[in-house]
Amino acid sequence: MNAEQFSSALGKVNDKYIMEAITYERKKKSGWLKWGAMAACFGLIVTVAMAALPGLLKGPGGVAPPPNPNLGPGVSDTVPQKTINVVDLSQSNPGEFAGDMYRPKGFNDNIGSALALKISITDDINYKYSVLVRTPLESTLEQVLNNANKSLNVTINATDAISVNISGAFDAYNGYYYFLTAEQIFALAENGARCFYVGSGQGDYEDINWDTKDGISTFCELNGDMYILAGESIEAHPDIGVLPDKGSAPTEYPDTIIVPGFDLDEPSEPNTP
Amino acid sequence: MDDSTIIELFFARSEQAIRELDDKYGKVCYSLSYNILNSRQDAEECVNDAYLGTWDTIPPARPNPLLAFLCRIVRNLSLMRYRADRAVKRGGGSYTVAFEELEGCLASPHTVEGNIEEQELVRLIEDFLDTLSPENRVLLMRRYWFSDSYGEIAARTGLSEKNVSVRLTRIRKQLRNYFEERGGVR
Repeated sequence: MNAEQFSSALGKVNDKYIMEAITYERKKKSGWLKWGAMAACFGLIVTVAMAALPGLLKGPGGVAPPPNPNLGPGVSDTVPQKTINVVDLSQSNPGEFAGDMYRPKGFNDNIGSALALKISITDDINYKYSVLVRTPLESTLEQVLNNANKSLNVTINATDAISVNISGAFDAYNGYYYFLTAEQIFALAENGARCFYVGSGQGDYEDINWDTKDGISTFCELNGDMYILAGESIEAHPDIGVLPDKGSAPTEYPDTIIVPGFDLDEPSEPNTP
Repeated sequence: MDDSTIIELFFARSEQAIRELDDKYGKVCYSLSYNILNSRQDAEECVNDAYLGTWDTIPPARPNPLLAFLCRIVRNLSLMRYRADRAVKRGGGSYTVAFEELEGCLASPHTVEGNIEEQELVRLIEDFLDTLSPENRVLLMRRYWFSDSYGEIAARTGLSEKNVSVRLTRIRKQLRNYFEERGGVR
């Protein structure tokens, strides 16, 4: 088959497809969802800033907690281009942000897509990710950490957490802000805690590129797993609800598999009148 | 004026039918033709030819929906003219770009003869369309049926142009995989 034949055959598809394309109206995004997500993100940023930067607020006499030594892009500019082995969620995904997301295969579904992507493209196993940990409602943070520490022989101290007070519609969630390694994140996820990436907000949307590590990293830094804060209805969101290979949830650093990159080299658009 | 009234005017052989058709659907038809031909004059001529074709077809035909019927005629006439023009010089419209995208995705020296009959191909394409979400289906149809530019699709769907571009790239990849599995692309 060639493009000519395809184009000709496409011209003969049923009227319903033509009418759908003519009459399609974009869905209006739910206002509360959009503003809820923005408000929640803003609240989180403020809370984390307040918790992490008391020294700055108090002046020279204040004592600030040690900054995350690894906070930053975490990927090397010199790394050759490669694409992680991912599953496309866009088909079943009604959201606009996460509708763009590819989720790496083999990650526990308690790990948000952006966090999983960030882990996939980061080669340094000692890198510490900025993570919002949400414990199961029936468990305390101590119980989850205890189980995680036992099961995978990692050490995560409750005292290292920066408690995140998410107010308003999100009272039900106990959030804890941590800097954690991939191994620690896997241990928490295996024990029921949900882990989400808190992006630094650095970067430019134009630099998002699914073919390069830096491009994916930019996506993670700009968006993080922001949808998780948008409310109860997001619980079913495939961004964080899908685990492609349930039987193979990793207990170790997942392999990054090179697959053919997406063809993003588009022919240029002609000028329209 | 609703479609059934316009069709009644055609049946009554009233030239008012053409004027009503142009008032109601002229812009859609012109845009579709222009996307393919990239020439105002050629697009206008094709649309007028399509009205003439509609006049010749109704009666006895009583198409429903009328717009899809009309768009099909406009597209076919525009593509015929596009191919004739291309034999002389390359066109520069959206259709050319969209066509090149498809060529990159589906290029094969093999023809459908002995491979897939066109009717079967239409059925396969419809099956593929059914696997897509409504939004992605609209993206595909707007790009490769209507030859819309990314900007036009973005304005229609509320997505960014970049998002449209990335989604279409994924759709083409899905399309290629779909046909490869069914032996349509080798």
